[in-house]
Amino acid sequence: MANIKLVDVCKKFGAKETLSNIALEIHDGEMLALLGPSGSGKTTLLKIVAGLEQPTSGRVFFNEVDYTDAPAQKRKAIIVFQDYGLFPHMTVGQNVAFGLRARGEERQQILTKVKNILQLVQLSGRESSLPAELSGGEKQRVALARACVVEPGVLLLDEPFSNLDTSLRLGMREFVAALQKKLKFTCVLVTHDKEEAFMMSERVAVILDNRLEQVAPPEIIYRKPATKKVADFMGDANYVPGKVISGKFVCELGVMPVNEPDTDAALGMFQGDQISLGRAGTGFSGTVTARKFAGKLTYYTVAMGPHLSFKVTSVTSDFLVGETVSVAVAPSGVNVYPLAEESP
Amino acid sequence: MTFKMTKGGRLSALIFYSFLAASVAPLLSLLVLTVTAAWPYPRLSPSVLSWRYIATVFAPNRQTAEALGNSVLIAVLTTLLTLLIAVPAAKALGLYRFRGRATVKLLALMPLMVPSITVTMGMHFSMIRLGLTGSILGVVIIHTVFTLPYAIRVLTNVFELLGERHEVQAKMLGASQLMVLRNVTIPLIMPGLLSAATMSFIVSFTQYITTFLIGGGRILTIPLLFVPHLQSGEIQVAAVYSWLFIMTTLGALAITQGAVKKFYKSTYLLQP
Repeated sequence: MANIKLVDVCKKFGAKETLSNIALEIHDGEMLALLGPSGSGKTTLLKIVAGLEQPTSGRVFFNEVDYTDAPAQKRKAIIVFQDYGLFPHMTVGQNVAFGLRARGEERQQILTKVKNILQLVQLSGRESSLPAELSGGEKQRVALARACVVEPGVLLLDEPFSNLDTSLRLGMREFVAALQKKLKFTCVLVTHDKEEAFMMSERVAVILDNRLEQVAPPEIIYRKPATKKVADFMGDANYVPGKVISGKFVCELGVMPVNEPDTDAALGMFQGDQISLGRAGTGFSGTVTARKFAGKLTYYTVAMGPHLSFKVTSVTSDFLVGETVSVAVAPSGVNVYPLAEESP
Repeated sequence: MTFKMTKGGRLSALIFYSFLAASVAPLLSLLVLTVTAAWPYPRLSPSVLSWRYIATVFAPNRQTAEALGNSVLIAVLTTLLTLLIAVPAAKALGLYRFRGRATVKLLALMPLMVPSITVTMGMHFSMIRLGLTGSILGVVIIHTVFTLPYAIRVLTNVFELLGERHEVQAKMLGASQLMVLRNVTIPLIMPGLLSAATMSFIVSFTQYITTFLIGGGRILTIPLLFVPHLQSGEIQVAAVYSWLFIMTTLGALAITQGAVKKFYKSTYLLQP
């Protein structure tokens, strides 16, 4: 178990800046997700924590001790890569035992520990199978067993489920979450899948364009994205220009209380499911210009006047294209950003 | 026109065995030559057989044993020195990205691109000054110059394909450098190692001019012993030496493979 602190970590590959001023604290025993699109630098950050990359500047602390210059072997962190990295020339048993052998443990002890962990990952009795004989999910479990059997303080997972079928993915997510709760190690999970990050972790760190944009529990990230960039990344964002006057955001969709300073140029963000549609008549009205039925949800595009159009996610599928509908927003569902903050 | 499965199978088998026969046939006629005293033109087999050529080669004063011993010793030492240099070199070339990498790769092949005598003459003078001529060490060094290109080539490809990920994973699990080398790197590059070792052994075993120049006539190897026989037309004696050569090389290969198989006992490595 370890508490990890990253202070002002930057990483440059030549002239290219991969990470800018990352400051992050990961609590002991926490499950944290590093969420971001491909190329945002999250894997590099994971490697820096693991000791496989050195930061260009900044420090890395484990339990308040500076480990920045320590090599990967000395750290108590183990990384499981996307392709599992099983040793192809060794059996499952030899793979799992590898870390224990490196630590010079006794043969009998090793055999017992391997047996126990294989039981935990539901691969009992598979000690003499070769990796080539295993399915994707089984290889995944062997990789996890190999990492967990040495009781790491920190487990780092780099997009561990992206090579699995959807059906397997859900099962493995629950499996890892349960394993983490049972063995109580600190776990950092890198993923580009929002759902995965939200379902598995206690807190999510959103990394966009090489910067850490926000660290918070999943619901806060989703409902209250700190910046427009984060909101855009979550998807489902609609923007309405307006003003903030005396603690109220005023725009074409109404007036709602916000905790923001007064400004003339503000952008209100409403998520697709914060806007509700009803039969024409009460309140603001708009016209349905597009409709996509997707089973559980229906996606509408609603236009209010020539300049304003937004995407609405609804559980009702009653409205048709061309229909006039009433538009209402939940007053608590708005996030306000300064208008100048336009992403390139 | 389409070939039916069985017909296609028979055709390709026919082609395969024809090539095999064509490759093996010269060796068989070489074998027959070793005991041929006379074989006039239209005949399909020798008219007179004799054991005398074989006896000549193995006569006590013929230095065959000495030459064989030297050849094997030099070949083994060359192989070891080659692998010692080639493995780290190939690892760097295969795994690290550095400026001039393509140039270095090309330079490593240089000794093969010019006649060996030019390289050897170039090194001869320096080796005289260092006192390396006329010694086994000197011959091993000059042989290594010519075996390194093959070894580096093969092993670089192996490292490029393999990548670093297994070593990285092993280090993360806490393995020391030595443990990584023994348990991860070497088993994984073993096919490349065997290939490089085989090439090194064979190239060293067949060296003539280089051994002659650097050995200064004092180091006797099998090629030095039998090439004069080829030049003077005593092809039967040359044929006996040739077969001796082939048997030794095959023997060395068999021993190496057997030793490796026993040492690593891994079913993965035995798969094609």
